[in-house]
Amino acid sequence: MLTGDTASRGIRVHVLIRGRIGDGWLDVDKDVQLPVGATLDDLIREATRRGIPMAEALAHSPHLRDTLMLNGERCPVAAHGARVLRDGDEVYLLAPLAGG
Amino acid sequence: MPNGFHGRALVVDLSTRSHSIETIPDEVFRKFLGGYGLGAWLMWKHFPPKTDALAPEACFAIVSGLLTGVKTPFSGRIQIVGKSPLTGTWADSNSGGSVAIQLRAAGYDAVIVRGRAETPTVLVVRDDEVRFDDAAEFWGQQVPDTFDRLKAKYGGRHEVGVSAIGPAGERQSVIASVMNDRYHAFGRQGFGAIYGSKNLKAIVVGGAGTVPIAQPEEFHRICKSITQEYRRDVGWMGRMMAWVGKTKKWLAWLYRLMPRIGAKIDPGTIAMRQIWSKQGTTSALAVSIENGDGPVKNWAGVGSRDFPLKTKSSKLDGPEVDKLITKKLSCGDCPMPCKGIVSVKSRGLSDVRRPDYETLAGFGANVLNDDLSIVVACHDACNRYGMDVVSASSTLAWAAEAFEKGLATADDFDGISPRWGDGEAMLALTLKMASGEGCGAWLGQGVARASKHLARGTEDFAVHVHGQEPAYHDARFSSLMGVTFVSDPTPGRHTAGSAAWNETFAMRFPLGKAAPKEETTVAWKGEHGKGKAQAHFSNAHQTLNGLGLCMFTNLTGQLPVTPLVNALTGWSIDETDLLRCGERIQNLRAAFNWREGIVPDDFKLHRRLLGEGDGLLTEGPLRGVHVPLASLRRDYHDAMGWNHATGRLSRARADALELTELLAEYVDAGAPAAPGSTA
Repeated sequence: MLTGDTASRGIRVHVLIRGRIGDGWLDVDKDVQLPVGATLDDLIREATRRGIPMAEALAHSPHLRDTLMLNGERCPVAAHGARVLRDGDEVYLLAPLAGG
Repeated sequence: MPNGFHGRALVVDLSTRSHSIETIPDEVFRKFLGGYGLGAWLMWKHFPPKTDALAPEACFAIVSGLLTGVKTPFSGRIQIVGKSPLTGTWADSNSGGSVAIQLRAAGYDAVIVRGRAETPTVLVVRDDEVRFDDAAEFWGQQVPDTFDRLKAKYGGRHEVGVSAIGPAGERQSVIASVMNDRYHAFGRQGFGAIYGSKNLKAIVVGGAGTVPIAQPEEFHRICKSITQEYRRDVGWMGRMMAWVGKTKKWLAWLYRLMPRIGAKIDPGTIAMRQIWSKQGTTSALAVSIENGDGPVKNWAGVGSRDFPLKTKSSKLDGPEVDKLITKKLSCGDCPMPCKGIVSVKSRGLSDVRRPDYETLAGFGANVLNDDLSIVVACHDACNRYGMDVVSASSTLAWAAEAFEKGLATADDFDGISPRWGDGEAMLALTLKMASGEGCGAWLGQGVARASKHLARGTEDFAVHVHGQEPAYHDARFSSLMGVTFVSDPTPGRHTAGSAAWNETFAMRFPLGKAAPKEETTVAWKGEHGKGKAQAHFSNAHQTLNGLGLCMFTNLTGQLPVTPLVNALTGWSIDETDLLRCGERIQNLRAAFNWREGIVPDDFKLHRRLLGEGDGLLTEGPLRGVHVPLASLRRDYHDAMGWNHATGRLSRARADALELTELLAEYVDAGAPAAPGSTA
């Protein structure tokens, strides 16, 4: 249920992008404000519009489309693009790195 | 006179305190390069088949990569080969340090050690001089003291490289490591026990000579350009460029200007080099635990639930480790040193090698300990006594699970209760394992032997591959890592070459001209083309080992290896030739196992890494993941030309690789290669 406050200001989604993306390294830790009812696809568009390289990361490291995490669970973009986000959701794009 | 190598191996017999020099034909270097390749060739020739790894007749070798010892950037590596007392299989290990550099300066490409000294001994090699010095004063000493005293005794005006064991190796713990130049380790497969079985406390090597170079000016020019590029990228200029490269509206004028003046910024690669230089593998910890790559709770947990990034794993991540750094540490001949030394005042710890990813994952997430100071203390204990961090921490995780399930009590652990997340208990047990005191005597033999000792059904969750605890990358996250764990001749190893790193983060193939891109690029999901890609990556990895180059070079750019090799040796080879060398090395390593009576099915992956039984998770990023390991392994074997049942190499492939004569018994019966066929 939406509170009056949430309904008026929309929702806030936490975005974390970290690791080796393409040939480089990304470390992004930001909140993104979205209207109520926004979906995962909306988040990717809005984040990119605000200079948060979500679309870039997904393009450079295709496996991230499958390993994107929403609140600790894997959430493939292709199957969940229309999923409606909620206030306080956490969306992580975490690229692996070889460990020695 | 050859260029690029000496063509000489020093053969030492500790039993008779004698030595000889073996001439190695040029052809061996052309076919197998150096490093593991030369080592595998030497062991195929010298290791008595089916001999116990700790018997006096058993031998091992320290070998130099082809590009090591001539100041090639990223070549400050040492390699060791032999038979593992932990797994009974082929064994090799790769470490930073200067022993191989000094060995080449002394005029050798390798030193082979056999026999057993009557009393503790230091093997001293100084150019033509070979001595067997009494090690009584060093025996029983921990690693830091051993190195300080050895350096004081044998160093002085001339630098020496030192490879030595601590007390864990002396008592032949099969998870004992060998330490090189104090801070670097031959960690896996129990080489420390081999030194201990031979009463060999240390090898000290010093040399004043050089390796002949075919085209010295060209070779040094290439080396200089690599060094300059990396130093620029990790220096202040690089940091500025990476900062500028991150899009900023108010710098729009600069972005418009740059193409006009031909300026180009590649902020991605520069940023990657900077993060690697700054944090090394520590930057991978929190990400890997959260996304499911790293181990949690003896591989049965869920990172995002049991050790979440927000509250737990971030406490052990790169930026937190950075706060403990007191100085940088290099393997040697490296323009981008990625290691460090740390101190923790609250625990009285100083001059400790920085814990890297495996240590942080093992003594952290896998036992649910989020106290970084404890991780450092466990790491210090392992390095002081000379014990492998992956095997030790895996054994702790198993102990914690046995305790939680009531299959073991504090009485079994000398009064210590190894509860999940109880860092102090984990540290106390680590010290016992390292010193061999009390329960440490059996815990310090690794999880396979410890679970057999305790029994009570605890073998069921003892996670190992043919006796060795798998390194901390989950096959449920990257299926090809599972293939590496069960298909490489060294079971459970992650630094053995795998297309897993293309599968998960699109790492480029290191010898791009030697194989079509479609054969070295795989999707994260599905099985298509993975066997072939795995074969290419595993073979190319052995090429890098043969050359003596750091495997992490691939993460931060690709080195011009072919021009380097040709300028060094005077050969005219290309990347395809180098990849074939790697394939030969991989086959020679595999042949050793076949000769020991090992077949592919002997290597099994625990159900938890396959997504079977309690490994089939119901929540978290690995929810529902099951690894089709059998078919993936079969595809890899097909791509390598290996018989699925026996592991033997096909006749056609052996012919194409010109291995049929050397490996006659190992080669499968079958038709020879068609004329003109290539690998």
